[in-house]
Amino acid sequence: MRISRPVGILSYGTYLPAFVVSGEEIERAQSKVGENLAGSLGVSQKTVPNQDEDTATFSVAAAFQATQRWAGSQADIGALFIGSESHPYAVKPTGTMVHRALGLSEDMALADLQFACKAGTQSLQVGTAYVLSEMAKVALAIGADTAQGRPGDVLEFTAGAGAAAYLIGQENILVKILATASVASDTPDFWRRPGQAYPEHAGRFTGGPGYFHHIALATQKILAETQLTPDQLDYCVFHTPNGKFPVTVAHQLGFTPKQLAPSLVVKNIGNTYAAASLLALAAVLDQAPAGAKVLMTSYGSGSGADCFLLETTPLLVQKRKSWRNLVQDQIERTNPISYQTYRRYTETTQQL
Amino acid sequence: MKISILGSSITDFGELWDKSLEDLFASAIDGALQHAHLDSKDIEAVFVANMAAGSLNHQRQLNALVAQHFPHYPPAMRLEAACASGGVAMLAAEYALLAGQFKTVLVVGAEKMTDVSSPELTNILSSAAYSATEQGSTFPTLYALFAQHHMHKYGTTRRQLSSVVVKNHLHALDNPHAQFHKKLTIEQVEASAVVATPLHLLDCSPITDGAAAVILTTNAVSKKPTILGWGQGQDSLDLAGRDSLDELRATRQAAEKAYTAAQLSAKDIQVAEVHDCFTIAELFAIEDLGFVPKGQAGRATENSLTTYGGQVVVNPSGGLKASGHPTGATGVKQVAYLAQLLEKQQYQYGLTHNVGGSGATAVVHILGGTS
Amino acid sequence: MNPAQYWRSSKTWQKWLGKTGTVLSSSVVHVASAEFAACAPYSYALIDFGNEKHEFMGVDQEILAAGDQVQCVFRKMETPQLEALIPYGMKVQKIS
Repeated sequence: MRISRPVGILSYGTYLPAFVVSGEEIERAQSKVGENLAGSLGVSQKTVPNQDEDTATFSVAAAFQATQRWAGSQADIGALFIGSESHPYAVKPTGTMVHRALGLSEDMALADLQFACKAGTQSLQVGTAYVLSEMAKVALAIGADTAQGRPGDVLEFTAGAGAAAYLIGQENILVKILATASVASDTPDFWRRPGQAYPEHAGRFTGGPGYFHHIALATQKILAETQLTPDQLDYCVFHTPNGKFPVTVAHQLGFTPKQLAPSLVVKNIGNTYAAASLLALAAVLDQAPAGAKVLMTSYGSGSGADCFLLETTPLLVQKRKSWRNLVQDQIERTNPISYQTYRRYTETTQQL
Repeated sequence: MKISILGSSITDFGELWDKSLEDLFASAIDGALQHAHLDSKDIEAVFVANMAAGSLNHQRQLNALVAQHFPHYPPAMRLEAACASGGVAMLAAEYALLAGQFKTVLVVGAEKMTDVSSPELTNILSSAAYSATEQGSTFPTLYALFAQHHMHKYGTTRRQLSSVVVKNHLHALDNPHAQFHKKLTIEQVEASAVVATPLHLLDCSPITDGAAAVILTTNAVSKKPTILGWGQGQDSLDLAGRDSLDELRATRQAAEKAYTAAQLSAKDIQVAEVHDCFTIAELFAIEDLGFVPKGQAGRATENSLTTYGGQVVVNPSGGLKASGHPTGATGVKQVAYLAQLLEKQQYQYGLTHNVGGSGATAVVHILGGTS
Repeated sequence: MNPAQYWRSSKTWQKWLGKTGTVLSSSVVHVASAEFAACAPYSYALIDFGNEKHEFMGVDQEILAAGDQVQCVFRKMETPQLEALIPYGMKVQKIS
């Protein structure tokens, strides 16, 4: 849907934990040294949460950075949606802890979302709708996850942890939201039953019928509605279950490697699930010039996709000058840990 | 009005499996009555010191528990100020005597700590900190922060901390009731497990069951030690509220008041029972009581100024470290132990120093000998 | 921590989130209370925030020392029991 009234991103914040475990460490642990699995997945290391961190602590950190960078009034935030596959509670939204930690107003529409890796972008879209319908002056949308991979499983190489938070409103817009569309179907490529520590995934079925089909569908819908072609855009962001899928789908849809490159933080942080597309977008926004058009399409297994057409403003470039701890800065301050330590930390943060 | 210590008694201190809390109270009370050659009916009121029987022993209304040990059920009250419960119970008795409310009263402190598991105990003891703002702390942790500061600012060394343990364990060999009768070396102290840096296990006073009682009177008596003065100091419950980590201001204030009341100064004190819940606490104590200048306590202890033949004998009983620390009993035991030394005419002026928690409460008593 | 205590103490989160200060004294706790045992060893420090002082645990795995610049962050205080309220709270982290 093309959006005719002004709405956009007023600020954003991200959070990556300080530890990473390398693909080599995981290969050794899985007795697959020499198979270059990490290389074939395009992920050289992934982030690992500390024992005292979880999706809620990540969400608070990302949201805090977003609000710190924003000159608006927190009292205007009237909607808070958080998407994750690892909400700490099955009943009690992660949003309530973020609400309390930030000291937000009690006038608040709040709920947690789950739709695999697209729960974060779905939150962004819901927030946008709240603002456009004037049900909230400002909305806060967060994608956050402490993803888990079963020991020995291929997902162990990519399941990372992180969060990204976006403030949406109509005044002092840094990045305009020009259009958004979503698609959904029942495509059982990846799921988790309650009480199970790890998800199940359907192997290669996740590719064609899952990821590629839905991303193409949503992206082509937006391109048609906005009557734009890939060469008229500056950047593209596609969900990053690994470092290879986004490269392939970008090519299939007619985008160039140069348009995609700034978004590929997945190589150094892994797949941060509900935060993935939002973190990749943040990496792009951290360095994009004014007037740049960005297309972002996320993918959530089960399945669905959200597509957004965005455009940066000069205000983004101006505001960014005083920002610290950009996505790349956080990547650079990560410290490697051993596989053993990684398993010990993740046992304590396991979500059920 | 002169307050004399008619009688006193200290039970064995240690892991006393066959003694209940009630047994400990009874034992101390009976011992004090016997020592004073009094009948239980001579006690007009009882002041009970205990920190945590509600949690440790599922027993409250301790005033009634103790009063029923007397056939005439004297009026009784329980005082609590964490590890300074004994000290404040003494003060309550003294205020009542000075007010003319009673002439002869008994103060008894007891703690039964060893029935519960160690993690449970740590948790219960940590409630003497400020639970709203000191989450994650334990008592060793709070005193460790003092230790880090003292070492950083005054150059106090690890070895100087250890020397407190060596001294107190030596002293305890002369105390038949002490929990430990075991010499320790510097190396043994430093080889013990780290609890909270820089404090090791052997820097910490143990978990102890025990009780102590004293009988105070304003009747004219002779050849009994007297209470020459006292003082209580109060400071913030949590460390964050203190003006500085340089001193325990509550100790300094309590001592100043006690010296003024007794018309004495630190120089006059020949023997002292101070609150060495941790080794660093004894170093702070001898500075804040005025025995040695600020920052010099480590050196003074290492140079044997606080043992026999030095400037003042500190913790002849072995202190909390070697004689044990049943938290509610300690403040009373300190008075009882010194009273017994003074009655034997070994000294003329003694001082007791009892602290609650990380230094929010401090009570100092100055005792006078019989000559 | 029961729900009412959690609720009252959570009102202080907003006050501290993001505040920066200097470590006055710090200790590494090896023997902790039962509920914090899984976090041990952890740092516990007295921090000077300029206009006031406060004590905080350091984030897991980080050793603090006097003089360190730190910032308050939102973390889990202890390992939560499976059925209990998750005990969130403020800790401090070194500012790099």
